[in-house]
Amino acid sequence: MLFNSLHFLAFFPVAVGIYFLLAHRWRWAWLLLASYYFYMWWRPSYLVLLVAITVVDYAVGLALAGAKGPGARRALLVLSLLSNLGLLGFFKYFNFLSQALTDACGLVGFGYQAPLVDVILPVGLSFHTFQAMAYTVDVYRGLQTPERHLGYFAVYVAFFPQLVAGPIERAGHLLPQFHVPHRFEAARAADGLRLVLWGFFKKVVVADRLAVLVNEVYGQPEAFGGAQLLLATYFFTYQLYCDFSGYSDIAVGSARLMGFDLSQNFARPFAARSIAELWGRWHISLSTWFRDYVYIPLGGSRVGPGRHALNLMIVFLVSGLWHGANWTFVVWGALHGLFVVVPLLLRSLGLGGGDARRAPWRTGLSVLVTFHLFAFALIFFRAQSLGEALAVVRGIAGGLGSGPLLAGVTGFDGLELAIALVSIAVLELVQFAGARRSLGALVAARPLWTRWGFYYATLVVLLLFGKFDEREFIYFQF
Amino acid sequence: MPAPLPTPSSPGPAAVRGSWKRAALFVLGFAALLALLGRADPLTDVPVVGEKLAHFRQHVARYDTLFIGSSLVHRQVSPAVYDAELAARGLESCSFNFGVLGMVPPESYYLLERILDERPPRLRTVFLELSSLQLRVKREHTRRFDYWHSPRTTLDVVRAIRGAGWDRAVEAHQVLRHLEASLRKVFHCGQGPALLRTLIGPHDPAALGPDGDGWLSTEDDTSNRIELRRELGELEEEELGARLGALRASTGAARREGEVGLALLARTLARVRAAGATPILLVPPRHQVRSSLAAHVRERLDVEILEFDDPARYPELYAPELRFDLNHLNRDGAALFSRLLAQRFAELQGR
Repeated sequence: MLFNSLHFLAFFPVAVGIYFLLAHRWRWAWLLLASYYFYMWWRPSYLVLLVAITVVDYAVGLALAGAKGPGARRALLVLSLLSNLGLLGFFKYFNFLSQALTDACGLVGFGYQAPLVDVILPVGLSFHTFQAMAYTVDVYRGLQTPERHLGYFAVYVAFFPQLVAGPIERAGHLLPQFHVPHRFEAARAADGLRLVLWGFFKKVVVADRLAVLVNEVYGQPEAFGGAQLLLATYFFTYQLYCDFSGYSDIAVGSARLMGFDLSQNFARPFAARSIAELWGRWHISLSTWFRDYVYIPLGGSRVGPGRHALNLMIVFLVSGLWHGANWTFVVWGALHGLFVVVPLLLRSLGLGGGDARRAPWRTGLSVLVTFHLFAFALIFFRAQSLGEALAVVRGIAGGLGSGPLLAGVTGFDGLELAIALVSIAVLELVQFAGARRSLGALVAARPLWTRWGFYYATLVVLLLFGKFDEREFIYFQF
Repeated sequence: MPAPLPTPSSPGPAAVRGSWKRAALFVLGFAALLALLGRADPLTDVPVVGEKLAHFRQHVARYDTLFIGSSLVHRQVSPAVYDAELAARGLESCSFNFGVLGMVPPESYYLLERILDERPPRLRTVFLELSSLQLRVKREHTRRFDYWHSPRTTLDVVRAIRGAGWDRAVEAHQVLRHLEASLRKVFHCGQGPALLRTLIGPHDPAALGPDGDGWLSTEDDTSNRIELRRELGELEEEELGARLGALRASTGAARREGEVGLALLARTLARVRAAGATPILLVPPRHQVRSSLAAHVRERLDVEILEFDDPARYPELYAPELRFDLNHLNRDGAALFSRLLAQRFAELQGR
């Protein structure tokens, strides 16, 4: 089910209302039912995958608690990892690897055609497998007590606000919250609704508006000039941010309404002064997942500079592949790896670096350069193939041309461009204002008429300037 | 078992009551705001409808006769020719063509009510194309589909669908699509750019046709769709004569309007009469086997119906050289039809 659909508009009040009407001991069952219904709206048969992940990791968690020797514990962990990664591998990477094998065989003159499977990637599979795997790894490491209540564990895996696109929650943070009875609190509900409203603004006013131009230009990049390609690339940078962080805001806000705290997933990423800093502000739940379960086990930074660089490259390449089974994502991950590793190596050689905080202009320049590096890498993220990505790069490098900015673009006129630019400006202003104190807290501290005026204005802007064609969230495909 | 987190202290009953009261007030305020926006909605972003309505608002005191219907009206009724023919018979008329491609009930009924909301002071006659209630969803997720889904029209449609005897799954699907459109209309979803355009720019005068009276003949429409249609029309030319011949030989098809459709039509006619005008139902010449719809409506409602879909009575309207394509008359055919229509109207007036 999409957050930006009428179905969700009907589903959510019912889900929340009944949740608060039920006694605490039945709430897990209601949440599970609602979450499975939410998931089944898309493809009911794939519910079996969600149930399989739940049962395997629940059983492994319990077995780990009873297992004595390290060998048995390791075997149980491997079982969990294999089942989760096996599912992910089959649905997401089988065809990619098969095609790569076929291409490699072709390169050495061996005409082998590896088999392909005709399956649709289950929505959000990468998210809930990572969440479930984190649980078993934490239990294995002794950081998490195994959950004995299958119902609570099943809700942890399938909790509908964050089921299909995160934030990827750690068991230690989310699981205990299902044990606690939550009362309806008006202030908390208002806070959650504010966040939901802001998430919808990002999604339907900004992201879905920008998508119109981005889809058209990236749909046939060779038909457009450098100016249009550059504009589409900038717009895609904001589209992706607003689409994904909008989803996260709606997820966190919806959960908050029911009394749950989900992790913060974004923290003004375009204010970052380096790509390394940006990854501490962008998709934080995934960055920290890779940090805890890949980077640190590889040795992290407590190794020599060469190995440290290699660890970082591995993490970013895996992160690229996590996003999608396509060489474009591998290149995207590799570029980010290089953007992090190169400054690191330069600093270790005593070149470059320095304290960017010394002068404001240097900070501004760093922010600008970081944004452009990020946007450049996103060309590979958005393009359907490496050829298409290179066509975009060549088009931009070929110059901006002298024609009108929207030449050849249909369905996106000057007024739409103006609305898009104003909405981006509003987004940045609100984020800037909320940097020190959250926007919710700022609004909540105002008198009633100011608060209501703000809410009415936001609702009207959202309704009048939103795109309501139920466009999917980009990260659903991962 | 993890240690339970501390539970928040529960608010008192007065605080809870206060919260609910504030929430209810907020919702009421928002509903009032939506209603205000609804009054301001100029429908200017609905293709052709918007331009015609904007023109009509500007000249609301000018027109005494309106033609409302589908392309069979939009393409085939020339107000200038109609007015001139009446003038030759000593009748004064200033008419406007409110035809829009593909417009059938309930959309045409809704648009007519919006027109009457403008209280045109000189309005005397409204020609409304007779057509069955169209219930199946067309042009989903377009403004053209959404704009006529006022709560009342939507309820009417839902009632009609429930009584149509469709398969339950199809019925549910169709009802849902109409309810979604109604919600989009009530909440003004995505209407901001249209409102801004209304403030900053003039309307496209091309939609009003070369005479500025709402008539756009098939030849004068240069949109891609019509260019394509013209090519198709040329391809079909050889076939045209044969088809028209078959139409002349046909004896008609049984067709009745449902009870909900009749009730809506009766309500619309009453609204026209309440505005001080006379409604006349119009069956334009068309390439379809004659139906018994007009006879059925005449049985049930007290209203004048002018029928031009009988090739035996009006063979000149079915001459291949006056046809643009199978469905529409060309410019000369439209002029002829407009004269015939004026003559029939004059006869009704005893001229």
